[in-house]
Amino acid sequence: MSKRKKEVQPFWRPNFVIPAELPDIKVVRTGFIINFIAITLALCVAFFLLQREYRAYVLGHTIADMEQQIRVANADDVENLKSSEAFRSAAQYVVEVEKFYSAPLQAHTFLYSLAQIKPEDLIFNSVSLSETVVKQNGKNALAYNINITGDAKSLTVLDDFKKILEDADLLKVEGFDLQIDETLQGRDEKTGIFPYRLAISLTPRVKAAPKSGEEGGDAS
Amino acid sequence: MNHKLIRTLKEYPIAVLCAVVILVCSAAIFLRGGAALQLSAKEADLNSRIRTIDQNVKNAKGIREDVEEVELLVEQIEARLFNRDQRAVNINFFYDVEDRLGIRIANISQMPTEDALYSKGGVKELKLHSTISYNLSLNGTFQQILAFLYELHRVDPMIRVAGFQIAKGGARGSDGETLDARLRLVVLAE
Repeated sequence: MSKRKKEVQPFWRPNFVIPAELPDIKVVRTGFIINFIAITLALCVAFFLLQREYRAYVLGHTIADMEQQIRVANADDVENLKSSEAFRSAAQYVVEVEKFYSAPLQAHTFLYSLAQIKPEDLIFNSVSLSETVVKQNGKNALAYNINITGDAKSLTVLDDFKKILEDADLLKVEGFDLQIDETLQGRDEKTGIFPYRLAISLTPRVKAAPKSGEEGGDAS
Repeated sequence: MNHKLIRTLKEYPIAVLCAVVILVCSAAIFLRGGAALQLSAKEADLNSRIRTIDQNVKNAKGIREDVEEVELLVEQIEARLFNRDQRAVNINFFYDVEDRLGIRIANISQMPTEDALYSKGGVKELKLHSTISYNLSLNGTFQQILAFLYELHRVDPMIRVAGFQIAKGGARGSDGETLDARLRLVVLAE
């Protein structure tokens, strides 16, 4: 590579050149660049504005169509809502009747089934069914108590009957825990039979509370 | 200074015109921006309303027939309710059952207040109906008592046996051993 030295010549005549007056000899003229940028920006802004205005115009039309659609459908909708409300309020009566009857045991079916499964060697002296309100997780709930008293001709028959009761569908109630306690008294010397008492309780099952670890949190 | 600026501006008339256009458009965008947003929000609202109406139309398919059906059911329920004021008529109902089944009702007592279970704050609180409670004492064979309980379940008035106690009565009739039964009944009322 060779270095070209600038030739410095002494001013041998005055320089009358006015640079501002000289024609623009750049490849791309400054005026062109300024105009290009200005036109591009103006077009962008105008396009953005027009696009927004067009969208607003389309939206206006869509909204008008929708409002018309709603006006047409509104009468039917009001009627539908009235019908729905009428159905809801009428259905409340039916729901209440269902609530009134809801119980895990019905007296007639319970007694009938009890008579069906009773072993021959077991005598019933009394049978009772009652409802009690119990507190569960701070809420009131219904529990059912059944008491049976009578005489057993042999010692094993009461255990057999207890097992029958535990296995019977009669006392398998969803959402309830079954507990059967038997009390056997001393044998009657004259008759040789054993007076007994069976206490059956159906209590609403307590829902397991979520473990404290499952709730997350800082273990620091 | 001003002279120079004017000269520069005159030098680029297109750029000046574009600047004016940019300014006007920007002002329009700024001023009309809110309107566009409002329209978008309104469109979203109307869309949501139309969707709700469409959903209502779908849900309401056959609702008039359902309403008629459930209202008929309510009428039937109303007709089966005990009237609290017709005390004699209500008690007579149980004696009618007694006659039909051949059982003997020793005592009927109507409780002065509603059953706590179904009244306000009760476990089975009823809002549209009330209840009347009765304590019944009756004598009969096991079959007769069972038939009586079944009859209470089967009859038109809505009766629930809330509790009972059945014990040996000691007497022995032609049909078998007589039992004493004490029933706690709850009847749905107006």
